Amino acid sequence: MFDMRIDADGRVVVSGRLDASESERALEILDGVKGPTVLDCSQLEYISSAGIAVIMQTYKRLLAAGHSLRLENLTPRVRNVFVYAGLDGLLGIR
Amino acid sequence: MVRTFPRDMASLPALVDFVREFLAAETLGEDDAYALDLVLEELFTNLVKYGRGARGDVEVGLRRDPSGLVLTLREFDAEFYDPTAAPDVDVTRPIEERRPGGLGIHFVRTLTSEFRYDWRERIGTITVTMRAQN
Repeated sequence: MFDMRIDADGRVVVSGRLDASESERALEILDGVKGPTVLDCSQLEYISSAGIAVIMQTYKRLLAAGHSLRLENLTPRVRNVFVYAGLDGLLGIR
Repeated sequence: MVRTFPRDMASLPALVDFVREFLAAETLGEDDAYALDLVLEELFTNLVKYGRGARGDVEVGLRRDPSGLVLTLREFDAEFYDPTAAPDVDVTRPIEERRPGGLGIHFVRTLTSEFRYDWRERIGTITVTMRAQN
């Protein structure tokens, strides 16, 4: 079950499976983020290329506006997908 | 195991359930689960976007043999559409220069030892083989 919520401190907490069936909803939520953003991925169980495309799109939009997007607390399996995508050194992943 | 799914994004949860049945039957673990989920989703959604099967469904097969985990996707009464010919993305480029698309097939190539397409008598078959992790 996919879920994404914006905490009071501005952190975006994503959980469950971010696949092609949920990517539009994820993009709608992330489009509401207008400033520097931390995406807490500690509860993100799965991501595919569709989910990575949403994160890349959000990263580019925030960067163009002079802001940043940082990903934190990725599980090893989710981190591997970012490695396959060549994005592990980007996106401020830690 | 073989099952048929409507060629639609809404089939993704049922595909995950299908993979879980296969994993349980073969006593495979979470690393195999993630890899199978990812490769199957990327190939299936590629067919949703670009598939040419007139019937509108996709037959998905999963089996384990000495070469590894073998996944097949078949479209019937289908025009020729070869996903193995898709150009690969350059994942070394800076994110600012990246364009959407192509990453899914890149994941398939990364995670599989065999990625093949056959088209005969208007049946298109994608076959991939992956080494079992568990």
